[in-house]
Amino acid sequence: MFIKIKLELDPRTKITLFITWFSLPFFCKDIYSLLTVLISTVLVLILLRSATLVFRKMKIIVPLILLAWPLWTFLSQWSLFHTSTRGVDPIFGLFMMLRLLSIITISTAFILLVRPTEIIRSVISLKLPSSLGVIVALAFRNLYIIAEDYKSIKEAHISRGLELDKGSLIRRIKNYIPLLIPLIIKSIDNAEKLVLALELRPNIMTRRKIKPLRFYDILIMVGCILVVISVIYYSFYMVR
Amino acid sequence: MEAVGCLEVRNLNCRFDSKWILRSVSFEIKPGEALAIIGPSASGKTTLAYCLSGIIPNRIPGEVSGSVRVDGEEFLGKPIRERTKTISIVLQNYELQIFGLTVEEDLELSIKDNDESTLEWILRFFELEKYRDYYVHELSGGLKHRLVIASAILSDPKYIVMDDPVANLDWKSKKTTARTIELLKERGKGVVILGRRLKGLEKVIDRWIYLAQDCLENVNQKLNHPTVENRKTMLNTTEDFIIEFRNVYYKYSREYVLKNISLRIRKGEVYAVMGPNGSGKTTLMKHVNGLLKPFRGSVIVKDMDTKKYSPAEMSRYVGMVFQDPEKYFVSETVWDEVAFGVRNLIGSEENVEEALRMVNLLDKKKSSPYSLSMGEKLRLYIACVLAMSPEIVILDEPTTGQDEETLKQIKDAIEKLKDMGRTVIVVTHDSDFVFSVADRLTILKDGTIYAEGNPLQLLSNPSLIEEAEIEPLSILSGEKCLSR
Repeated sequence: MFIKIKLELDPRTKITLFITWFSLPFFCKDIYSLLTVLISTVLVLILLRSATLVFRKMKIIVPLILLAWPLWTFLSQWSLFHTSTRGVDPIFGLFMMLRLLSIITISTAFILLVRPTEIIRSVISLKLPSSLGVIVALAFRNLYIIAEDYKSIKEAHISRGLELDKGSLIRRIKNYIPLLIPLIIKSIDNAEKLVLALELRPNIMTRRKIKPLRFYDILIMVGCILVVISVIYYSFYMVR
Repeated sequence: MEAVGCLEVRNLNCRFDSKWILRSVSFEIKPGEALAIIGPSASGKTTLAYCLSGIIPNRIPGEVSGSVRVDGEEFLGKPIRERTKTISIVLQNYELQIFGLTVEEDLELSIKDNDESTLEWILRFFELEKYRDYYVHELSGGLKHRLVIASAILSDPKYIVMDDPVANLDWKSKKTTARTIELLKERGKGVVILGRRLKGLEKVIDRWIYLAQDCLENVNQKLNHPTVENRKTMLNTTEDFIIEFRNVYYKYSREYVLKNISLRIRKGEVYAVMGPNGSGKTTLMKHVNGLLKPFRGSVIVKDMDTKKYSPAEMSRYVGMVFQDPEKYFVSETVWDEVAFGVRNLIGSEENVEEALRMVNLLDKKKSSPYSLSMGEKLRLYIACVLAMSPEIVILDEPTTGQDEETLKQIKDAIEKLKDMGRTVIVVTHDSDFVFSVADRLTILKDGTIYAEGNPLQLLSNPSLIEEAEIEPLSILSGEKCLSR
């Protein structure tokens, strides 16, 4: 039976949950633990009824994630960061691909499910300047604007006969260059206007209203700490 | 004598480098009054709004002189933050002034104290209570505009300056904005409204002044409505259909945006599509050039099922002129901009010169696209499409925010296209424009075809206009219309 979850989490809990989940793929040292993180993330998203939303937004990055597998399988032996004696290692390629998938899924979910004002509130509750929170929140908000602009610029150029996904890989990359010019101009213009709009609002987020954490918020935060400890223990002491 | 209890502008001048934008502008406005300042493109309306709010010279460098006083106190030298507490501005691109994701969240950002009653009061006062949990993107343009004003009111300014508030709004949203101005007047706020055309706000505006060539004049314009007599009637009566929608359904996510659309457009006719925001006009047009494929049903363009062709392939037959053309420019010169599309299709520049000549921009071929006026930018985009020689040209809201001169240029371009035998589809909110150019009209509402037929018959039916929530014709509305 599907249970509808209606849980209003405190912004601080949401941030803690994100930081915990985001750091887990980095602690995982084998495919099994990574799969556990990935499956648990998908389960949480299904329970929140947000899985479709998150995966639809991720559609565009799928080729990049798939590219990680051959790259790490064949090229890891020449890595600048690790001395590797693996040679061609498809399992390692799969591991890195799953890690990338987990990181992108968790980040996308965070961007889509946490409101800008929640970020501001958590920053304020941590006794940091509210301006810092406003900057972070606006950066997140700008992501939506850039995404919308990208979509409309792409549509306009396709309508002018630009074939984006035709030809060799180099050709395809070149095809995208005309999209970048108006996108960059528009993004700079938007950023400038956003600063002006901010200046035109005299009292943005000067209210200091911090609610105390509720029982289940504390419970989830403690749970997060336990999960991190368990994963670190499993990865560093149980997996060779 | 010094005027007390009002916003008084005396001999306001503004120039950038050696170019004067405003010269000796003087007016005054009292609390509870709505003053409209209208004028064509480049007459200095936005400059005036920026000078009042302090954006010029604080953020945009410019030489400003004269006097802006509120209750006798000089404001001209004050920084933006100090001024906005007394003179608040709602930008033309007002959506940028919304920071929250929901209505409640956005208002909360501006509340100074911990008093919950302030939030309740502002929601109630601006009739936003039922929208408090709405995401901002779910609101109509008029409600978004109202939300920006509600946020501004939280700092209790005495005067609100609105820069072209109805430029991008449909008729229903324009009426919402009129109600917002009414509410502000009731609260004793002075409202300065600047715009090219302020149709829909006539009833709430107390005084009109005309901004032209560096000075203000009282309005004494001759009304320029299209009349039944001067309407150019060149109806195409052939049965040669070039576009056909067959029971088309489309949805972005859960709900259908287009529901069972069936229509046919004749070759060589000017076809208009009207309807309130969110009725599916642009979605419908994106089906013609294959950007969107029907979820159910089919769209046949020149005997081709658009499902089988990519948008790039369809661009040989269908050219689409999007709203805000400058957003899409990629080249350094006007010539290269027009050549961009042709190079994509045939790899040569053979039609570029002819296309530029058609829109009277050949003498500007070496200029930067960004240096052109708004009307010229739109004509340039039309040239970009024409150079690709499509048989069908779609203009998506070309009239939005345009002044009389630009509207005439667009109308001329459409008539030229028609004379060349092209099929033109125009998506717009402007009934007068539709009446003056279109052969046939479709009115969309909630993703279905609400009415289809002769523009004069449809637009002269008051009950249909009321129910379909579209703008009435100026000649039939019975209201004084100073904006055309």
